[in-house]
Amino acid sequence: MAKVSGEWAEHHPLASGKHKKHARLGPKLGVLMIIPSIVLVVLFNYYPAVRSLLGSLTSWDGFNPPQFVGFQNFVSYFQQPVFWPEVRNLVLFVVGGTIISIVFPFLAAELTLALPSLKGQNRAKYLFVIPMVIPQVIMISIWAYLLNPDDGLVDAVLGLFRVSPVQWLGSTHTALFSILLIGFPWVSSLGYLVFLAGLQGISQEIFDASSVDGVVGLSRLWSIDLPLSIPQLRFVVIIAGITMVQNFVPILLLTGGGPANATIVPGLQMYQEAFTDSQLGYGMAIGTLLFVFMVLVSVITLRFLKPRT
Amino acid sequence: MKKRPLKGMISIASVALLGGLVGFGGAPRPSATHPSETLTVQLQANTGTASSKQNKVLVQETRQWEKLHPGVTVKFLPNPYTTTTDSNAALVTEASAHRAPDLVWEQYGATSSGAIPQGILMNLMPYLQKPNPYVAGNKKWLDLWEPIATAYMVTNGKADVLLGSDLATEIVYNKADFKKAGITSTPRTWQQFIVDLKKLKADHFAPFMFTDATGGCNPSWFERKFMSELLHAEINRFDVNHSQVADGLDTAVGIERGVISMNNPAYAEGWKLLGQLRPYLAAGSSSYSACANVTATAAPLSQLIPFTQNKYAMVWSGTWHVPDLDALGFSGKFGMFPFPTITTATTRYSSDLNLTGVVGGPNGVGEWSVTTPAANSSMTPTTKKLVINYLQYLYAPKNEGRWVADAGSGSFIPVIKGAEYKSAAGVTNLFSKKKPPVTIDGVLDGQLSASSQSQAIRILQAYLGNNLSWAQFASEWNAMLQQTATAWAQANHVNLAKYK
Repeated sequence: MAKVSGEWAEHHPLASGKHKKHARLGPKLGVLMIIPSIVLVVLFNYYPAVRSLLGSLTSWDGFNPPQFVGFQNFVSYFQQPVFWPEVRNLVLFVVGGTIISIVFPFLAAELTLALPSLKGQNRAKYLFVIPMVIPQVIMISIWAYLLNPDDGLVDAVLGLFRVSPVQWLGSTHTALFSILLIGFPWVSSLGYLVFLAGLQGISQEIFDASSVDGVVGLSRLWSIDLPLSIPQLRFVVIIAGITMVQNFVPILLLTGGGPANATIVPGLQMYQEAFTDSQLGYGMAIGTLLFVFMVLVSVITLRFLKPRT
Repeated sequence: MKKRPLKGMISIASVALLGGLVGFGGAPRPSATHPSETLTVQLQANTGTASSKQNKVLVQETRQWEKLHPGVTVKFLPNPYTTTTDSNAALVTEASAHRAPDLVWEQYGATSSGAIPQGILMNLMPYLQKPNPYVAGNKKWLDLWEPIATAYMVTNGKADVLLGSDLATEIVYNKADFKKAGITSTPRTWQQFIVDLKKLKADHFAPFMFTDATGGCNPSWFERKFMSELLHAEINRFDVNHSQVADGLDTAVGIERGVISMNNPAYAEGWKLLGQLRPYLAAGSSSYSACANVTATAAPLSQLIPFTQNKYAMVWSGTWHVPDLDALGFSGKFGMFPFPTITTATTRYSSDLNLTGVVGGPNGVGEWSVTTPAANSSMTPTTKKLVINYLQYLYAPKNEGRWVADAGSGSFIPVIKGAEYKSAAGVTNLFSKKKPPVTIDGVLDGQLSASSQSQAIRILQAYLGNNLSWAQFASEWNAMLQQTATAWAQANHVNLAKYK
């Protein structure tokens, strides 16, 4: 019988004297317990990904058998006139969305911890976290109301200042910005919690030492808080980048990629090709390219945002 | 040895779990040998559930039919989608799992364009050649349809869809705005239309909301109208299938042969005419669709809401919206006229045709297709026989008028000869029961693919929004046409080179 030792052995009920039989099975039981999860992840995550990679080399309408076409789907995608507008919009969404995901949640986390009382800090945390439970579709619907060109609240408020109604989602000049506007003031996000945890993890001794050196206020933010939040920053950048690449739902529901090509992105085209046009092979090719793009964004982020001590 | 039972249990549990997830999901359906039979019917998109107002009479008539067939039940499946495109995407998914419903709501454009993969819908022509048992003396079921419907229903000797009603599109105008601008009669020609637009603009009205949202329908109406008009003389150069509606192959061949191309002056003329409207179009048109539901809260929005708020003098709409306008409190305040004719006085490429019925046509409610056994494993010979009998009952003159007219509060006109119905006021004069000239649909109607339709509409949005010059628009449009035709040929395994 393998000897069970360490902290697990001291605290886990399976390792206590009453459960010696179970304790004997401990490590192996753990392996067995994780097998269903692994099987399901492989089945529902890895298999579709590999299937997508293979499917991208075929012409498939989803009903009749697929036909192998080599790299034709990729060539067609690069040659289509809308390719460059999609790249431009994708970059704008990723850059804009990532900045929003960093700046505002980080500032909110700083302000929360700057509150003088613990009670006040906790209330601020609740205030910022509770909106996170609102489903995205509801949030989009709310913004559809707010930006509605007929009776939207935003235009109504601007009207009080004699500003003419703006076609927020109907103008090429404002549509992309309006999509990014969803969720304003962009505080209630996973990033807020991550930054908050990171800032709380910085040792008080460091703050005390910096205070002695006269590093306070904004200079502390630049010299201490930000550099020591690089691990959190790196995580938020990667998650935000992936989210912005994947998340075409607001565009699908609010603009359909228009007006003109102002909000068209590869994710939306992937969806339309695969699920409204039954060109699943072509859609999988776009999906494969998006996967490569996300890997590149992640690798670049990891390379340039290295934690500092 | 002691460990084996645990391992075995986990293995069995895992297999059972996976089996439950991937293999045994969904409710079982009655087998063909079961004494009772359930027919599944996918309702029309936008009509809600079987208990909705639009489906009330359809369900009533279905219950009557069930009484004639004890043991047979018709189960209505709500259609959660708002567009034919989305509804068809769901159909393809179901068909790939061999679980498509027995009867599905469909539109003729989707069946003739290749948007639905071959093999999902059944060719109903053999049944249409036989008598309808619910109509005394009928020798051929197909004879019951008005010519306008059969022209669209039968393509290359096949009928993948049964059509139920006719609808028309029309320009809806604000009577008060017209009166203030001094317009005493509605325009009949393109030239008169432009004159009236100038008068409205001079009187500080936003003259016309064209509506060009992605997924909308209005730009395709204009495209269909001008192509059917201006390319009429060149139809024989690309009408390969010789059917009422130029289908996907025809369109692809038209592109391949340079007829549907900005390099063809007759084709380019249509877009130039549309360009003439730009100074008179209301802003923000990409947020609105002429086909949107008036209750839509996200794009595409209904143009009827701002129209009834007196923001525009005119919108392009359809007869099916007459009840909506009445419900919005605009009853009596609006008038309707057909989209003005493009005559030879406007362009030498005009054919001076009567295009009534070309834009609109039998595309309203009451369009059904039957799925094949390949798409629907429960489509046994018994089920098929029952489904056909059910359709014969619904499309009998004594029944068809009621459920079709009721579905649109009288704004849809039944297309079965002798069907009785009560139409909404001012609607019938917009219809023609004569067979229209050959209808040429284009990329904006999704003739080649839904994605090229979206791409085309975005290019058009840029053109109408003055973001593209004519040269840029023509260049981008031509590139889109070429790419679209190539993609369509690849997807449908057609060698376009042989049509060069």
